[in-house]
Parts: sequence; structure tokens; C-alpha cells
Amino acid sequence: MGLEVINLSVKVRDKLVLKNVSLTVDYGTIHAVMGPNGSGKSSLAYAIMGREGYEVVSGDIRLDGESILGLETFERALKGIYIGMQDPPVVPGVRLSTLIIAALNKRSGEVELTKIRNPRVVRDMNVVASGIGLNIELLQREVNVGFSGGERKRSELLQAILLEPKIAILDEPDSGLDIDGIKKVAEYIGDLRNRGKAVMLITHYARLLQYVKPDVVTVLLDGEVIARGDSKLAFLVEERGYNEVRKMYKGA
Amino acid sequence: MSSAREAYARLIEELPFQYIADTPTVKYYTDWRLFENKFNLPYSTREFEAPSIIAHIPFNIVLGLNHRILNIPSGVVVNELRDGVGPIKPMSIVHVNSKILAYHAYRWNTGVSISIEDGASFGNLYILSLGGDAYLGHHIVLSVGKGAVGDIYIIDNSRQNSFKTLVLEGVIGRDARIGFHILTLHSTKSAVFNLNHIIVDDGAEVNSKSLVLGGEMSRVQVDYVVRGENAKLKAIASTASKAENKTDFILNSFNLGSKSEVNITGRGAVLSKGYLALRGSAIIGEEAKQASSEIEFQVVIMGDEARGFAVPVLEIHSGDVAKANHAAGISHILEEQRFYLKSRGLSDSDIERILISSILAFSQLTEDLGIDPMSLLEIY
Ligand SMILES: Nc1ncnc2c1ncn2[C@@H]1O[C@H](COP(=O)(O)OP(=O)(O)OP(=O)(O)O)[C@@H](O)[C@H]1O
Ligand SMILES: [Mg+2]
Repeated sequence: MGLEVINLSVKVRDKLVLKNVSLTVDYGTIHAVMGPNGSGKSSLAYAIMGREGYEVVSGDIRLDGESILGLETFERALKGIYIGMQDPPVVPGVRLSTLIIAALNKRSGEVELTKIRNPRVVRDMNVVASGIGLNIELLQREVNVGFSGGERKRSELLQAILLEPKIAILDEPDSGLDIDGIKKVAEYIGDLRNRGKAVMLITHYARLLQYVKPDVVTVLLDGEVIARGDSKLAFLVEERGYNEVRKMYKGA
Repeated sequence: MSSAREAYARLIEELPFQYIADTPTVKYYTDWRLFENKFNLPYSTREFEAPSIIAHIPFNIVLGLNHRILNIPSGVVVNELRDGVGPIKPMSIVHVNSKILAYHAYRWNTGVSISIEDGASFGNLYILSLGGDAYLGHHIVLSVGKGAVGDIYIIDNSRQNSFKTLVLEGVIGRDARIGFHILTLHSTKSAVFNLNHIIVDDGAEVNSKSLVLGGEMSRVQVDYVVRGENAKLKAIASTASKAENKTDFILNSFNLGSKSEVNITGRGAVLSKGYLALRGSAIIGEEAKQASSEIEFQVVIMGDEARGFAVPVLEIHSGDVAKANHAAGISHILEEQRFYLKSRGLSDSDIERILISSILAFSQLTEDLGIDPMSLLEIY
């Protein structure tokens, strides 16, 4: 159970960006997805989330054994899939705290989305934000407006923690962070796993994986899975490079 | 009718609505025809009660066909305003330099003079200006004493096919800490001209929250004249315009005092066939050494036929400025933003509601007044 991607091919405009990709992310595990620029990592995350323009040509995406292909993005989110974006956009006018409250209210079936029903929500927000090193003043600022790269990343992780998804897809949660930031983020990602979430962790480098050991590693190149293994694979990629790894695994 | 008023009658004929067109591309942000069409309306014979959404506010002063002075906090003195009487005479701070101001000066039917004593800590003062079934004109003069502390809320409401002018002239005394807030809510059939001219003296701090919503044509203008040394103004504004509404919301500031500080931020949303201009000039005068001024407006357009403008203008006449910034943005909701919000579990209609209610709540005035921003939008 968890998230299953089965023989998935995805087209963006006229380009095939994912070719016959299969992977499973089980609950209580971290599945790292690695690959060079343009290999299709973010496209995979978007396809799982049902983003407009990412057309599934063949294959299936299942949550707990059921296909979610017929669902809209927001329905997938409400079923428990979360994406922390690589480069989240600004949303002028909407405060970060308002967005979080609305997302939580929506999950609990509240009609008035921006009303604070439970003061605990605000306390939790502050506690988690401080924990991951996000200045709590940013909660009152407009979503991502004037946020630094690192602040955006922390805000994405904050939401992943507060919204309690079943599946957390984190697209390069480490980029733009200093070493202390990376350790902190790794700690919280490990915590998501400990709390039984299925984590799909997209990353370029093995650096983050030194601090949070993945259960499974999948390597993408040109939209195809070229290798799969345990955490050692991440370091092999780092050492040898993607093309070398492809050659090694082709034989296998 | 006093002879001063008769003189204004002549000016209505002689003066233009505006001397200068607003920009080369947009002739006027205010549709003055809609006012002119209502110039011949008689005085209202009935006033409408405050709508339920604001009925819970403990108003201290109500202006309608007449003025009502209810319980007034200590340290505040309120009197009926009469031509040529009182500490600030009507139209002594604001110059009658346009047709609409001449019209107001000639026709306003009731008003109050509010004096706040030096050092008074008066809490909140709520002033309601009601609309009628035809024309009403209200005039307020405000004099805040040195070191006074408190919040003043002006709530301007109209309900029907009507016309209202509301002009406020005020001086905020030295070292006072004042909240000066404006809520204007108007039905789609009313034309409203609302002008507030506030002078801020040495060391005084003014914090201003405003929200403008509704009206067939609402022109709401706030001029903050920060003439005092070390005087500070911080203004946050929210506005939205939908279907039949036209809104021209103007926040002007004039730094005249040295080391004076101005910070103005506004957010607006335009829906369906609405029209919205959110604009202002931040002017730093020649004598304002080491002054600072920041002005920023953002307008989100949510409808194919909606029209929106965000126009902050910065004009610097001093060679010695501490800080001066202006910024504007007009945006449509992008696919990226929509996807982002959807990935949080929000549907298209949730997104629209949240964006609008966030923009309405941005100035924090709805929170101060205990009003749900979403219900506001359903009414106005
Ligand atoms: N919306 C889009 N429009 C056009 N091309 C796209 C779009 N999205 C993805 N692509 C293309 O699909 C391929 C995979 O892109 P994707 O963003 O998934 O890569 P990535 O592995 O996440 O790269 P990076 O490490 O740089 O983030 C690239 O060639 C990219 O140009
Ligand atoms: Mg990517």
C-alpha cells in the first residue's frame, strides 16, 4: 500500500518526458528519486499530482491500490498526496498562515475556509516553523513574496508537516539551504517517515541523503528509470556519475 | 443659505471635475459622468439603517438626514458643524478646486466637528455615514490634540440608487498616536465621493487601515499630509470590485516634515466585469530632509472582462532622501499559482474565494471590526 506508479508515460506538449516509469513508495519509507537536470523528476511529481499539461499517455498512478488518474489535483491533495514544489510561486495577497489554515479547514470539512477554528493550529504552526528554522514572522507574510530560496523550501516542508498527508512528495527540499539547514530538513523528513508517511524525496545530490538514509533509490535519466537500489546507489551515482551508472545497470 | 455657500454654487458651473487627465492612456480613472448624472437629485427624504453586517459596531456618531451624537468617550468633544463656526471651518483645509468639491461645499446637509483633547486616551471612536434615497452630503472636521491616543473609524455606507459626498478634514496633533481607518461599503447603484484630508504634525504617528468595496462609482481619496518633523504614517488598504462596480481608490501622501516616514501598501482584486483603480502619489517635498516614502500596490484580475490598474507614483523634490520606493503589480492568476493552491486541496472556487477574502482582509480592518470578509463580498 502507498503510492504506486505503474508503467507511466507522460507527455508535455509534444515531448515524452516520462517513459514507462514504475515505482512504489510504501508507508513508513523514503524513496529517493535522483537524476540530472531535465531527467523528468519534477514531471513525475507533477503527473502524480495531476498538473494540467502533464498528459498521461499510458500507465497508471494508484493510491492504496486505487487509480487516481480520474481525479483533479485538489481531490488528489485531499486524498492525502502533498507536493513540496521545487520552485513554489508567489501568491500575493494571501498570507502563509491563511493558506495553511484554509488547507487544514478544507481537510476537516469546514465551510469557512479562512476562519481559525482551533487556536492550537496557530500554536502548532509556530512550533513547527521554529523547529525547522523558519522565522515565524514569515507566517504573516504573503505566500513566498520576498522569501529567500531557503525560506521557500522551509515553508514547503512546514506545510508537508502540518497538512499530515499520507504521501509527501518533496521536490529538492535541500536546494538553496546551508549545511545546518540541510541537517534540520533531513531530521524532519526522517520524522515524516517515522510517523508512517510515504516520502518521495527528489534530489540532485547525495548530500541530503547522508543525513536521511533512504529506503529505496530510483535513478531517472531522460525520463527512464535506469537504476534502482538501496541507499548505497545514491553514493554510487555521486561517485561515478549518471552515465556510468546507466552502463553498470544496463548489464545487470 | 449662507453667502459662502452661494459662492460655491457658482463654482460648480465654473470648475472642471479634474484639471489634468490621470494618465496618457486612461483619461480619467473616475467616471465623472456618473456623478454629474446625479447632480440634480434632491436631498434624501429618508436615510437607511446600517446593514446587518456592520450593525454590531457601537457607533458614537451617526450622520444621515441629520446628525446624531450618541455616547462619546471622555476626552472627545463633538458638536454640530456649522458654516464658519468652530476650530476648523469647513473647507478651510481642503481647497475647493473641482466641480465635485464645489458641489459638496454647496450642498452638504449635516456634519460634526470632533475635538479630541490633548493627551486624551479615548479608545475607539466609530463614526457612521449613512446613505439615503437621493442626495446626502456629510462633512466632518477633526482636531486631535497633542499626545492623544486612540482609533477613529469612519464607516461610509450607501444602499440605494443614491449619491453621497463625504468630506473629512483633520489635523493630528503633535506626538499623537492615532489609528485613522476607513470602511466604505456601497451598493451597486450608488455614486460616492469620499475625500479625507489628514494633516500629521511633529512626532505624531498615524496608522491607517482601509477597505473600499462596492458602488456604481466609488471615488475614495485619502490625502495624508505628513507635515511634521519625525511624523509617521503607515497605511494598509484593501479593495475589490465586481460585476457592476467601479472603484477609484486613491491614497496620496505628502512628506513635508524632515525625517517624516510614509509607508503605503494596497491590495486589490477585480472580478467579472468590475473596474478598479488603486493608485496614489507619494510626494516628498523640498524641505523634507531625510524623509522616507514607500508606496506599493498590487491588483489581481480575476475575470476576462475585468479591468484593473495599480498606479503608485513617486515624486521627489528633495535632494536629501532617506528612502524612496514605489512598486506596482497587476496580475492574472497564473497556472502555476492555481496549481500550487490546488495542490493544497483547494478547488477553483475555493481559490477565488480565498484570494478575494485574503485581499479584503489584508488591511486588517475586517478583523478590527469583527466582519467576515467573505460575507462582505456576497453583499457588496
Ligand atoms: N511545462 C513544460 N513545458 C515544456 N517542457 C517541459 C515542461 N515541464 C517539463 N518539461 C521538459 O521535460 C523535461 C523534464 O523536466 P523536469 O522539470 O521534469 O526535469 P527535472 O528532472 O525536474 O530537472 P531539474 O533537476 O532541473 O529540476 C525537460 O526536458 C523539460 O524541459
Ligand atoms: Mg525538477
